[in-house]
Amino acid sequence: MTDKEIFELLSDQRTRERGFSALVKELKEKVYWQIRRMVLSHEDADDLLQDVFVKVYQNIENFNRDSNLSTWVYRIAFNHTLNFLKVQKRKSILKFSNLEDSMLENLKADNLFDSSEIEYKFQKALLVLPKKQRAVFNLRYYDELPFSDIARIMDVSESSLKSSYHFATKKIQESLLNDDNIKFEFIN
Amino acid sequence: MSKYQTINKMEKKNNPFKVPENYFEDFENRISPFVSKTKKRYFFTENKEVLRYAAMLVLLFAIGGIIYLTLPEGKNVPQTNIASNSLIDTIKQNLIPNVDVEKEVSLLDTEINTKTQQNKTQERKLDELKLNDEEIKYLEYYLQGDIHDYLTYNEIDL
Repeated sequence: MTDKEIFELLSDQRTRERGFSALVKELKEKVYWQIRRMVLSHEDADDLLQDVFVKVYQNIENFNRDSNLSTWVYRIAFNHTLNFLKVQKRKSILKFSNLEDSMLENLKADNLFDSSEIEYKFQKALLVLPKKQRAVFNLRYYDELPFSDIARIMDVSESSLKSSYHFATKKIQESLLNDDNIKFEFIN
Repeated sequence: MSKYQTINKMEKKNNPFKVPENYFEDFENRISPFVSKTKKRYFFTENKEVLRYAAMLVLLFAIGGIIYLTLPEGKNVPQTNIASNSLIDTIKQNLIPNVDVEKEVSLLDTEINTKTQQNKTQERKLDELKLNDEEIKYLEYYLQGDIHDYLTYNEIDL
């Protein structure tokens, strides 16, 4: 089902439930992975995914078709995830701990994460990046989204995204530079 | 693990994160009843009429209050004579200095006119401050603290 068809179903009160069901079916996995790669934990990603779809349902009347429905949903997910991380960061400051360290610690113990050394090191290197840069990297590197789509999701210009991605790859390379087992080959 | 692994290729093939079994299949069933129960309700947007009447009432009270406070004291208090008229005249002549009543009254009138003018200006300013639907909704989001979400939902770029 296309974005347009789903939106038409969602716009009509009588078919809204059906449209929503189609929307969830279409986007749940993509949005889940977008969130999961940022928060790392499945439990948090699950909660956020539910919140995102509830927000989409509640605010569908505000969608003014300036962009694709899916881009709008990604954008809500992106903002919601960043807000969540901001809150977590504040909480960790109050506990005199470091959010990234505790995320890594939890990741190590997470049985829903491939605990191989190389994957762990890669996630560790990713956590060095600022949140927005990490999001750019994830969307480009894992989801292979074109910069134009990422720009619409993140509401920034394409050129700044390109440089952000460039810096992100550079920083990851630098953090992993001393590891002999890892060789890099990033897409541009 | 081989001696050299290319992160790019490795990541594309193996997603390091996993989900519990049937997670995506069950997700839809989990979210649907939750969503149908949850319908966001906005007091202000759903009760625009009530809000308008309330605002008008507040405005009337405010204007009434201003007028009450600016009126000269004791203007409406009924006068009661506690002495005979001739005695009052004598007291007036002896004790009250010569006052140009007409001048005093005209000064008082001017003051009242100025205050009324000020009230009208204030009223006009309050009218200008009346919010339209969009502004009420914006304010509502702002008060709820999720202004960023408002901008996202309405696709407003700053």
